[in-house]
Amino acid sequence: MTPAKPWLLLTPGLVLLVVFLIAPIGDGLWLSLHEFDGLVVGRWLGLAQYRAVLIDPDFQQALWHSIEFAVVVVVGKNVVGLTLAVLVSTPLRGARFARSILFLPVTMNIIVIGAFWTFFLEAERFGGLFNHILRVMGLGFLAQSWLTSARTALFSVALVEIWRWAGLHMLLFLAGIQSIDPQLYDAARIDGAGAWQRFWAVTLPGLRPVIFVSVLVALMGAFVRSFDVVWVLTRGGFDTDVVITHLYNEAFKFSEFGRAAAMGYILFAVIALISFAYVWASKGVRAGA
Amino acid sequence: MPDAIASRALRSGLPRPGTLLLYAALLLAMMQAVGPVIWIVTGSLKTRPQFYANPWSLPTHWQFHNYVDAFVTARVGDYLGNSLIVVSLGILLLILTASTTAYALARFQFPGRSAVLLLILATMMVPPDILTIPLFAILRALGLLGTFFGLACVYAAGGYGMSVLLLRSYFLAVPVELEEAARLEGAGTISILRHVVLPLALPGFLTVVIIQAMGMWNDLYLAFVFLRAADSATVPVGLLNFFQRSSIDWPTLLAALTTLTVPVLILFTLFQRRFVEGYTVGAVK
Repeated sequence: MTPAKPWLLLTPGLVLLVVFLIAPIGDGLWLSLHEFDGLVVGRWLGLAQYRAVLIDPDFQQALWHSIEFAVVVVVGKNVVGLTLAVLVSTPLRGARFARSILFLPVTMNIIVIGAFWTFFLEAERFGGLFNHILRVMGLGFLAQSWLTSARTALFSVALVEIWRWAGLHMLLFLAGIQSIDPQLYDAARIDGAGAWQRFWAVTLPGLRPVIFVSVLVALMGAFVRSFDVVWVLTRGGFDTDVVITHLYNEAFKFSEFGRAAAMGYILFAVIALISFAYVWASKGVRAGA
Repeated sequence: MPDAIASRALRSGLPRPGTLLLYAALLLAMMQAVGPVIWIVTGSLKTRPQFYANPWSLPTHWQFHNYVDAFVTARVGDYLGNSLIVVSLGILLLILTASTTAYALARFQFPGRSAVLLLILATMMVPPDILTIPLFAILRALGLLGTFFGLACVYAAGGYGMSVLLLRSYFLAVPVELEEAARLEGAGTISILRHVVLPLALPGFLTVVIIQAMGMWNDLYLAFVFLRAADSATVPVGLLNFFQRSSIDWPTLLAALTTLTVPVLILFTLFQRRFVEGYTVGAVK
């Protein structure tokens, strides 16, 4: 076992890591400080591009959309995921089978999801099942073009995103629930705690570490991995323009690659800030767990 | 907890209102989760007039002509070929890079080991989506922009961290004594890897391959950005173009979408445990 051996083994992986992850981090920073049209790196601009992006009302709008979207999605994924996890951890017949079924949306292609939800929420002329259901329930006044009306579009996309990933968060919470000591439930039962009280007194505190991870996963997903769902449902139209779709248009529609690179770093800074704040804020809570 | 209600009911054999409510909730949840799959499959079997008359009804009789249309007019066959090439290349690259790294980190003590591990963990915090622009520039500089290989590299890099961690945990679980015994028998490193380590770490490899292959197969964004020529479109990208035309031929699209979905469904049915492991690794201790 010569010391050269591990490094020989590490070479392929490190080459991949350096070329496609580490170099881009540095290169992007370099590009964001220059004029760059995707082909030729132009003159040095310093932080001018960042300044221009930050005061651009369209970008501010996209950033605000991203934040709204993230709040709805992070809360939604975790609440729905936790509810599903509690439901499928009951000894109901078929609960085990239900776990697999409820995970299915995670494996679905985004175009399948887009086609179905477009049809369910829109496509008035031959479907719009959701509006139809509303009418049957006597709530016809609520019926509208969910994906195109300015008031509901972003929220509708967020709901689809929650629907898509709820199964993943269910899985995380389920693993958490299964790792809780059953004796704690017995003890609570002896103390006369009802089902609801046991949930608040045993399940929820026991899930603290999982909730922490689950929120962090949801946060990342909501900010950076939302291009596909937005693009498929609304093509990133004005009312649903989030940072990542804005960045895409800036680069590939307007050839402002330098500006787009700057947007990427601003988004990264925002996520880092929120994540650090969250990790810091939950430190005390986790230590208590 | 609802489980108390349910277990009481199961014991007594009489469904109580609370239990019935739970069953109803379970059924409703399951229906909404499979809804899209049922919808695309049944819709793909309908004739056009039938579909447009009521897109939510079941087909009266099965007909597979939409699949012919999907392969001929929507060019799904070409897209499938492209997707298969990219996914195979990506998985090959990923396994080559991640397994060697994981093995080195699991089996050797050397200066800089924890630094490498830390570096990998740190880069896992950076999702490749955020690096769209610099990756675009680097792929272009390397002459890889718009190539299957270039996209495969990006995919492999994206799945590298998670795969290294997972494989490393499997390698760590292989007893060192077993390897040493093989070495005493005169087996070389390659042979030890093939006959001792690989069989024991196989479930780990399977998880990595399945989860990452599904991610690559389903990916829209990275393929959309880095593989822009119509001829090299992967299935999601090709179908996105088809989907976002002003007039959509829905039954044909649904046939294409079913073709795209069935392989994943088969994988999921066969390897559920690997899916669970792949998605919860690291998240729950």
